[in-house]
Amino acid sequence: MTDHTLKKLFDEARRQDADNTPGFQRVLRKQAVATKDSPAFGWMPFALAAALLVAAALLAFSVLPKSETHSAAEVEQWAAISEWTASSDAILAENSAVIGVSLSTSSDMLFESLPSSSTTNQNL
Amino acid sequence: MNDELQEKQATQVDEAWLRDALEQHHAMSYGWALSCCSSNPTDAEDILQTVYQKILEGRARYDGRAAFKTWLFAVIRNTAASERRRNWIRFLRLGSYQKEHEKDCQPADDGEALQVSERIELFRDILAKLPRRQQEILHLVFYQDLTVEAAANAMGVSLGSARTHYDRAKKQLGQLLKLTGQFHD
Repeated sequence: MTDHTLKKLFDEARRQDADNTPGFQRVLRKQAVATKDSPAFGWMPFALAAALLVAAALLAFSVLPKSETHSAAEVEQWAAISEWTASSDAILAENSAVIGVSLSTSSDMLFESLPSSSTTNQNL
Repeated sequence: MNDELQEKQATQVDEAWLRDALEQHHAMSYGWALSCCSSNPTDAEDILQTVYQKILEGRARYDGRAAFKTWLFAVIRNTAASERRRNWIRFLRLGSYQKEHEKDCQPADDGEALQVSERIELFRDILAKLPRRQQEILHLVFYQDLTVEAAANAMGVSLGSARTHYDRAKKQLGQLLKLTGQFHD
């Protein structure tokens, strides 16, 4: 097969294509079939959603064991706080004991020697 | 202010020039796009439209290092290749189209001389059996009248590689055409 024969075949093909070539303006004004809008990218939202789900699952798995550890530590801390006593707690205990018993003062005898107010009013 | 005006005017001139250049090469570009899309006219039109958009929106820039036609063909080829890679559904559709196309273009059993259009369809089908690079180099050299060197640029391969594809393609196509008995020197 010579170059000449091949050239003739390709020329015929070119003439055939020329008859079927859409107009330049038609191609230019055709509704945009930009690569980003093509169905080829239809899978992208699903891939993105799947990636987000996987990321969320990984995050959850990595965080959950840590939170359990933290809560155990916190419980221990709370227990320690409930048992904690201040150095002044002893004073508070002593005072409560004293408040339960009446204290006598030097002026108590005055109350005991005075007549009752109702009696005094009756005498007047 | 003057700089902005000048820049705007330059952009408008560039766009006008690009439109003219694209229009001049439109028929040839369509032929090349067809070759890159397994002769599917719808896909060829879509690819061409995407390419024109890319160029006019400045997403593909002509820097003048190669001839405009060579650069344009490289953009068309790359766009078609990326579409092929990305869209496997489209790829499958093309495959089925090819099969249907092959059935339609079987030579007549009664041995009558084929009409020119049928002959060309048969020729296209045989050409489609060659490896892609071989189809491309033959198309660029015989259909687009490019030199092997320019074809190598458009295909993004070395000159040596292009020559190898060219020689093998001619030999293989010649053998396949002879087997049909419909093509003679």
